[in-house]
Amino acid sequence: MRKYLVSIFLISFIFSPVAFGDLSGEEIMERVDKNRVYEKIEYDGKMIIKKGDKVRTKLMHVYAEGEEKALIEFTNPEDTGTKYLKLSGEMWIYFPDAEEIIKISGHMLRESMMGSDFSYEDVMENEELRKKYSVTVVGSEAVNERDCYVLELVAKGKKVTYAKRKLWVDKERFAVLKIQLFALSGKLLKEVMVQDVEKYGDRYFATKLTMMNKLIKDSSTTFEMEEIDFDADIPDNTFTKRSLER
Amino acid sequence: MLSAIAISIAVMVVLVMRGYIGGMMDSLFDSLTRIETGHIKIAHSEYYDKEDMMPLEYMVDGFKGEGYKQLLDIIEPVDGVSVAAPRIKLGVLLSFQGKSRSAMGIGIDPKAESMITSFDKIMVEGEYFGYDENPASAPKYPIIMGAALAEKLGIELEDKLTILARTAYDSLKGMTFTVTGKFSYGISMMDSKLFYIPIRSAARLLEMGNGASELILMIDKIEDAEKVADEINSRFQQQEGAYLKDGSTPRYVVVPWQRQESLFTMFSMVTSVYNFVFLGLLVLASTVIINTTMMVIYERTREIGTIGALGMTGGQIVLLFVLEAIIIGAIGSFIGTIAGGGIDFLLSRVGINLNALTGGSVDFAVTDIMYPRFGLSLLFWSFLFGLIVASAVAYIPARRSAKVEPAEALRAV
Amino acid sequence: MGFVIRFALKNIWRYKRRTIITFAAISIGIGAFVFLDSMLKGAYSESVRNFIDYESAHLKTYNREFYREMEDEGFLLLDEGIDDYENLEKLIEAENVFVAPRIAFSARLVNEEIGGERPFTVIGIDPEKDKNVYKLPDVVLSGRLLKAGENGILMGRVGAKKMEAGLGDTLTILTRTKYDTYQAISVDVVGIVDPPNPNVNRSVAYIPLDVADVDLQMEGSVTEIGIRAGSDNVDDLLHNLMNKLESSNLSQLQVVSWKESGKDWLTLTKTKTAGSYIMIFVIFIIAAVGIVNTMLMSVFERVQEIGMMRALGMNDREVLWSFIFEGGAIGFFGAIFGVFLGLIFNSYLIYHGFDWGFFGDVDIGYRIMGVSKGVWNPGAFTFAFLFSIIVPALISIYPSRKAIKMEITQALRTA
Repeated sequence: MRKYLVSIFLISFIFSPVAFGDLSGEEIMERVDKNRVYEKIEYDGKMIIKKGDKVRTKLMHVYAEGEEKALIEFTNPEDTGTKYLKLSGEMWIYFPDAEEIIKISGHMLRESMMGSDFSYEDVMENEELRKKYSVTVVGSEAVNERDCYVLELVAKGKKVTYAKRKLWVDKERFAVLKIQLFALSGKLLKEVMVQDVEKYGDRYFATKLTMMNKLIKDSSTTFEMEEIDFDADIPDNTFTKRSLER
Repeated sequence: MLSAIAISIAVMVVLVMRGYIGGMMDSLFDSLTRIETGHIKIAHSEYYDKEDMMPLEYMVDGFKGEGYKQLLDIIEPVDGVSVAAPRIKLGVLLSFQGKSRSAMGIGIDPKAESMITSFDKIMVEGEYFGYDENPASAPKYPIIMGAALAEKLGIELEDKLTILARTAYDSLKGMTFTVTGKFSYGISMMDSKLFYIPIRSAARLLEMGNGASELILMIDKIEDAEKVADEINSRFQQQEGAYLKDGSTPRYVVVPWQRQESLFTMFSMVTSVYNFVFLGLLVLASTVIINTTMMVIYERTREIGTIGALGMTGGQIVLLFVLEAIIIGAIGSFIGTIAGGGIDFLLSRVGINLNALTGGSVDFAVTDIMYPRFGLSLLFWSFLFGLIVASAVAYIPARRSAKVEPAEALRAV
Repeated sequence: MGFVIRFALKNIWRYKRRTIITFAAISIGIGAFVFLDSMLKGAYSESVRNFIDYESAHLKTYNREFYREMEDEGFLLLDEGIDDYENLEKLIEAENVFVAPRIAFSARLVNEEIGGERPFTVIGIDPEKDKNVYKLPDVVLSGRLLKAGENGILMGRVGAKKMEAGLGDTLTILTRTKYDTYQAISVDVVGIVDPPNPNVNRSVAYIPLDVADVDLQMEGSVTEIGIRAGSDNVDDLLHNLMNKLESSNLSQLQVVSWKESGKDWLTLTKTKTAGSYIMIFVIFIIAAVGIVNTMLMSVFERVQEIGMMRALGMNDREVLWSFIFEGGAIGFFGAIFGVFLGLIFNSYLIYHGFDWGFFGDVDIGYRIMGVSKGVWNPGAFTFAFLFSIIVPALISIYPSRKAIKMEITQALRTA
């Protein structure tokens, strides 16, 4: 009997992920989210929007805290003074030429921000994907000569923007190098390629990425972050509607 | 004499009706050209192609980005152009005190546009835009809107509302405007959805720089539209940058009203309907004339007999009566023409107040008053009409009567 | 009296030519009137028809919030739909009407091969029930109608042309589900319809309801229920239904009639016809002139005859009446022939129709495309008929009275 039990134990040990040093999807995501998700951040952002022949560049300064708060202030000449505030699930916009703050509600959040391939929602997202998606490892693949886990994320509930996501996670740094975003039907909608990953303390953070629209030809947006500070001293009243008007 | 009167009445009615129909058609054409198509429309070829989607990124902004004024400068010296007005069309969301409503606006150059539409006639409250660029006292971003639209939002003069629009670069932008006037075209579809803002504000809102969506041109003589358009087009083609990247598609299309599908097809349809009706009228009027003339001849059969007995040949008799008919026809036509022409003339000055007549607004009218067409050629043709019909008609019965034996004719009474 | 009537009729016969000419004037006048009236009424009712048959149905039931959002801001909110609509359907069907549920949503159609994309309103329809309420089956141009469960799309001819898509091509519907999740549905064009409603033809496409339900995560709710009743007069039905909804605790729902849905452009069409009636009025004037003319002539030319009749003993009233009858009789026969002419013109209009087709594919708000048929308007016929009997009869009075007043001897001397 003992022999039998030992062999079972041995066999299960051999096939257990720990034995091979393999991690579960959940565990991988945990590390990814540790890199991705920030408590606080401040940075200078640059967004390059390409549609067919046209190229537009938007410059912005961003403050964000946790999942609920973000303030984006545009600094490129055409949009100077325009500010976006995300607060408790709602978005408010201040336009210098408007004398009131505009609330972007419900269906308007799905509109693209500044004509890019990112919607307001996409831009505001800063939550742990584990919360909304169940994660499975489906394979291994190299991206930019880096060996990656290929993860498949399937939405747990219904209220998600993308029903399914596929992530290519750098095995060494646990940074996401490639993302594919799918519609409910499984059709590929957008693809994101991460071009630069940098180290900030313990964290590996993507600082340059390009989102490509897979359904509409010649439509892509590149997002770059500079002067990133995860310990920024963000003034208390930054994330208020009043600060929009200043 | 009675026959002359009958003829004159017939001719008169024909004349007045032609004037009325002409007036209706003119009114329709007028409204459509002022509001939508202009006599000539100039736009980026891609914009014109996808006009219903209003793709703002294809703008009229010069040949190398100098702005729409460059085109206006090229157009100015061209003969026959009376107004050249830039416009930006925008579909937006109007937001006022928490309520929002979708609406359609046009960014206009106040001075040029006032030469196209008489705004003083349609303003019901407040004022139209001033012509100064930035007068000290006026609000920074004025807006005038349809009275029904204002009512739906509960907006009064001097209230401020915010316009949310998708810019030419697909981003969302908002601007606050102050209501300085309300207008009413009398057409509910327009009054409940339309507003005007100065084109500079529109360009700022939509990030269009110094571009416009289209240039609307009004011509002195509308028949010349095609010629003028060709002239403008050839001047454009001499510019560097006149063609798009592929080398063969012109950057801008210059479309005279005759070639603007929407206006032209509607117009030709309406014209055919009205012409058809007019034809019916002509036939009717002819029967009256025929009626009269024939009776005159028949009643004088005895007279014909007498003359025949006295020795005139058949041919001479016919001639005699036809001549008489011509004279009566001429007199009748003449009177009818004068009377009808007089009425037409009067009405063309004063206009028919359609509002009062139909108890409500009439389709497409920019003004309530419709001016029947008055023209000398119209008079001439009407006169001829009466004359010819009377004469032609006189021939047959005259011949018939002439053939009859004098004795028989003398007996007939 | 009998004598007078016979006398009148004999006179008509005697002066055949004059009679025929007057008669011709009257007939043409009536024919033209009937034709024009038919055409205008036809155009109006065609617009209404197209609107009801392809867009608004007789009545539509919406969730109040959904309707408000749609009317004011132009958004179609999937989460403000009608849940549990099967019970609602039963409630409505009890009124002896047909119902069809639909899921209408905003989407962008993408033709991936060509790379073009355009905004469309896509509607999930129940292939069985929809045909009882809307008339799509009547206007299939090529291909076929939708089948339940298939990933197929039905497009308007104009819309398909703008998407540069034909039968068998694949398009992608880009939209968001009820839970705001991105959705991309691949569909094959199974049929192309050509409804005379330019709105629908240009910017609406259809997919099966069950596919829409699943792909948009509607979980059984729909955005609207269309209702077709027995007649266009739905005010009572509307009232009944609203009451029923109140009492069934469903007051969050609203019922909207076609008149309400189309109020913006309907007022436009009405006034257009009013302006045109002025022209019809003028036709009458001319016809009347012709009649007056004839009667005048006939009376004056027969002054001697009248004198003789009076000399022979006919009293003044009888003379008057005989002329009135004559006028009326000519009018009568003219009217008959005119109505006959009108019937002929009208038949052409009704069977062949008036082609508004050169509108092309342009939006001017009217719901007319292609051919609009004339309508039978008994009212118009009757009116014209009566008019042409009464007017000539009345007109005859003036000249006859004049003739009567003359001294008999003076009358006899006229020749």
